[in-house]
Amino acid sequence: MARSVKVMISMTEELLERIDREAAARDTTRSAFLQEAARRELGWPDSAAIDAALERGRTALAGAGSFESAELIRTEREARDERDRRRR
Amino acid sequence: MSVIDVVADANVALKWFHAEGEEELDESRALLDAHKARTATVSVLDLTAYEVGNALLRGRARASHAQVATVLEALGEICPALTPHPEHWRSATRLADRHDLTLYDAAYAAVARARNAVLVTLDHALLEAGLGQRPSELTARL
Repeated sequence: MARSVKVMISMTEELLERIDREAAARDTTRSAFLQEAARRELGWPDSAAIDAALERGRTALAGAGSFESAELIRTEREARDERDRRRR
Repeated sequence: MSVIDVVADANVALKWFHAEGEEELDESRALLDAHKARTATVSVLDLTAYEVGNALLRGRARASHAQVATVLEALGEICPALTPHPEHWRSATRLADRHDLTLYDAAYAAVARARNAVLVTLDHALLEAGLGQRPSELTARL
């Protein structure tokens, strides 16, 4: 599971100023801008890999029947919440 | 063009894989098109895999444990799963208390707020609290 961590990196003042200007122009943060740049450099997200993963997941649930996910998730959340309350 | 940071609720993530009987299916799946096109950065929480898996295994879905495992593996390949930081829990418990939400609901809202991201959800409690947007609201902006 992805956990965000703080990192300390070095770069020239000029590059940092350019990054901050561009981040501001895109209405985003320095951190988000650098993450997006790194993802692009690393080729992620990979559209073909996402499509393949979606295909596998959809095939797996092809016979799962009719339901509304919001209801299913809400029912589970309330059931867990109720169990937690009973433990108190 | 600015990239929209999106945190997807489990009820939206499950629609990426399941279609029959689903509300706002096309809009929920359009988020992934934006993710692939890099006009949006879509994330889920680490909690999402547990919620999706539990709903499929214990809910009324007809899915075997192997099929559920396939879905969870696929989910992990589609977008990053964020782990709430220790400081997010203060915000999450406050939101849960203020809006009478479960901590599961509030965790999504707290992480989205901390990232200045849009929480996309079809959960009535989160929508009524004004803490999230429906997929159709967001995709209209994409």
